[in-house]
Amino acid sequence: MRRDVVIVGSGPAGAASAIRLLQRGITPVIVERAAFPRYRIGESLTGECGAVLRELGFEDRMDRLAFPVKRSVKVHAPAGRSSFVVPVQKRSPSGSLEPTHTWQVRRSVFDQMLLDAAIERGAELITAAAAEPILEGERVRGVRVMRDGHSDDLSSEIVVDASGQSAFLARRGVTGPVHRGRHDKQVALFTQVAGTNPDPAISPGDTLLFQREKHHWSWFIPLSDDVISVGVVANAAHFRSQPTSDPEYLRQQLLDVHPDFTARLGRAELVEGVHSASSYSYRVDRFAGPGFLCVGDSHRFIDPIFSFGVYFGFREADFAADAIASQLGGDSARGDDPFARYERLVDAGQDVIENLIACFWDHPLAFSAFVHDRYTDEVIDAFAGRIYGEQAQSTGLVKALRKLATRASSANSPAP
Amino acid sequence: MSIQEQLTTYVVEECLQRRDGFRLPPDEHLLGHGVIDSMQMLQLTQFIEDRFDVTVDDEDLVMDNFQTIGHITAFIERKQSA
Repeated sequence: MRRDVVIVGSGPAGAASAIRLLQRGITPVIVERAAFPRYRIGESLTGECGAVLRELGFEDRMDRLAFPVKRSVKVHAPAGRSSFVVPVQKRSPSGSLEPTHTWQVRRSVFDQMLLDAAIERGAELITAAAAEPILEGERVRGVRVMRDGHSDDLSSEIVVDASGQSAFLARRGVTGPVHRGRHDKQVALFTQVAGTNPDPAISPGDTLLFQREKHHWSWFIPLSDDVISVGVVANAAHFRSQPTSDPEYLRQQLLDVHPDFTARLGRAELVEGVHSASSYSYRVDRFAGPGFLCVGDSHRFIDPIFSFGVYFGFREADFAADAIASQLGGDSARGDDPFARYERLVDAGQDVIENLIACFWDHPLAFSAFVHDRYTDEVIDAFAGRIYGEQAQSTGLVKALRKLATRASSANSPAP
Repeated sequence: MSIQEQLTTYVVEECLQRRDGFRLPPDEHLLGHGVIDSMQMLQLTQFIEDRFDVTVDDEDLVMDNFQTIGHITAFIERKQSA
């Protein structure tokens, strides 16, 4: 039996891909090897991510699950640099900015909610490990899966790779090459705490970020009235140079990253074990091609500081479903290439955020000027995730970020 | 007054509010050594545009141009001769 679409991975990108395909009358199969629910970080959602959840009909469930409401992101800069707050705002029909909110989520609960909804709405879930793509020349024709020690071929018109950082298709050479990002390997150490001190100046569910030096920062993301996700991100070399255990290193960092962070933590106690994750940033070339599309982390992973992970997965799922509907509807036979269009669209969106983050680390003076003076509203748009399409791609901020990014990369390139 | 003298006077008297003969060497790192903070640096870019009739473009807002009084002086001279 040949299916229309097999989706590898049932995280937010996979579940959202399924929901978006079902909206277009396409019934997908989701292949997932892991047992849900599972512990994950990446708990903060952007403003437009909240808008997508409302559009998909999840607002009531989000409120019932009592996920904290997020109204802003506050970045505490090191001494001598200006801290800033970016409010969560939406564009009204007339184009003006208006307050709105999004959420912070426990990923185990949130991811399960999305997967349940995909299944309720008609997707089929197969618990199995995706072993390898089935190829016919260059064309992907399905996925070979392993379950209970047996292999099974799921043949399909299209395979959606939503496998996250496992990067199923990229690691098996189906896509173009994987390029490592500019900066060093990062390590994140994280846990959950209770009994912190509130910041009366902001809403209790807001994200706080604390910056120590370049690529060295910590987060404070409320998960309930009392429990807060906290973590520290540092260069892997710095982390390895410390002769301490993970919990000791984290404890020392919690006191050391920023005085405001220490003040927020107060006498808080750990209510979860200490976990660690390490990652490089990377991007994959040719992540859409004959019979396949990659969505979310499976083709690109950038510095997670501004919480775009779930949002990229969501929006790319929607664009991927459009491209797949066009492809299955025969648009490619009419000379259009919906998959090539998908690649350009999602890469351009991720470029904006990558350039924004590069500016934040590499050009603090420019970043301050943009946030406080030159492009305050456009920064709010970018943080929310209004980054797709021609208009969003041609704002003064996006052009400035692009010029600065070119400058940084030329300054870093080796001498001829 | 030369460009460098005007910049030094502005930073010392307006940003730092000091009139006690405080000396600011032209090779002192302004942000890196915490002489001024980033909001004062933004104030300084406004002063540069107004006083020297140059435009500080978005892509000019990099440390190569603003690290020290010496760097800023060279930046203004480049802008004026462009």
